[in-house]
Amino acid sequence: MNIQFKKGALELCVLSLLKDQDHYGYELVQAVSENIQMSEGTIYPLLRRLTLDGLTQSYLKESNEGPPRKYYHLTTKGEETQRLLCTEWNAFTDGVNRLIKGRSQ
Amino acid sequence: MTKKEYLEELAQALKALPVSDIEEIVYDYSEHIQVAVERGEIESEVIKRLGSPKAIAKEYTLNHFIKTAKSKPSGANYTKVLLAALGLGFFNLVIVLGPFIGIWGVLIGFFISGAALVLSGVVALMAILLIPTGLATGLSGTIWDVTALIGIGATLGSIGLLIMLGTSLLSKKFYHMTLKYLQLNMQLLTGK
Repeated sequence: MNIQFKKGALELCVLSLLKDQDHYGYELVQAVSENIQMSEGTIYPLLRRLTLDGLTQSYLKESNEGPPRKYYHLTTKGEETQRLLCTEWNAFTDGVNRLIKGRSQ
Repeated sequence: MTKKEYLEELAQALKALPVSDIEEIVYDYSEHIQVAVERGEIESEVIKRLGSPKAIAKEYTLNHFIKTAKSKPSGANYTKVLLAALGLGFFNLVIVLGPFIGIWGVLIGFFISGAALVLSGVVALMAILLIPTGLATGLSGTIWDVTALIGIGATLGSIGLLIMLGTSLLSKKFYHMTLKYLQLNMQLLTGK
């Protein structure tokens, strides 16, 4: 699939996962890779970019087992972006789906 | 590949970035692998699914250069973005850079010919000074020779200066165009 296209979709997926609850990297990677095929390492550059752009905030939290986990929290700006991207995505996929159906008839 | 090897290769591939960034990024991947292993996954398989450290590093490097170019817009910073994007296979090197390198080549060529003309003008004028020493064979100190040399020197020199001036004005224009063009590419790249 087109790299740019996949990147945009991945951003929407991650923002949506963070909408209800904070997560750490591994959880996000698991949740995305269960649904979409991708190189799992590509989530982290995205998370870093989202944090630098102020859409997410990260904080370290101790864990009972192993290293402290870096959690990601959606900021207000992140919530707004998620809503906007979600609307755009739905409009786009609705349009594409209509065209696909039209062609196959 | 072991975790240690993977993280070392990643750090190595990230070397264009500030050290503090590299440390943070390496921490993220180290945490990921460790958590996965604690959950009972096999280290080598987790590492395989992460993808090549080089590909990951290219992504970080591109993002880093885009950020720098946005806060400090300059030709050099846009070029870094473009080169990093080329590394990720976003555009074709020849199509993007070919015409620009060509035009810059022509401009540099013009500038050098201008400089060469100025230099020959200076040499013609200096030849006048050599007449009394007798080193300038074929030239005598007649008023005609001196006048001719002054004429040749001044003409060559001023044509050369005009060419250099014109070229530097064109270069400035073209530099701004290049900057705009790189900016446009960056916007396409970041989707903003």
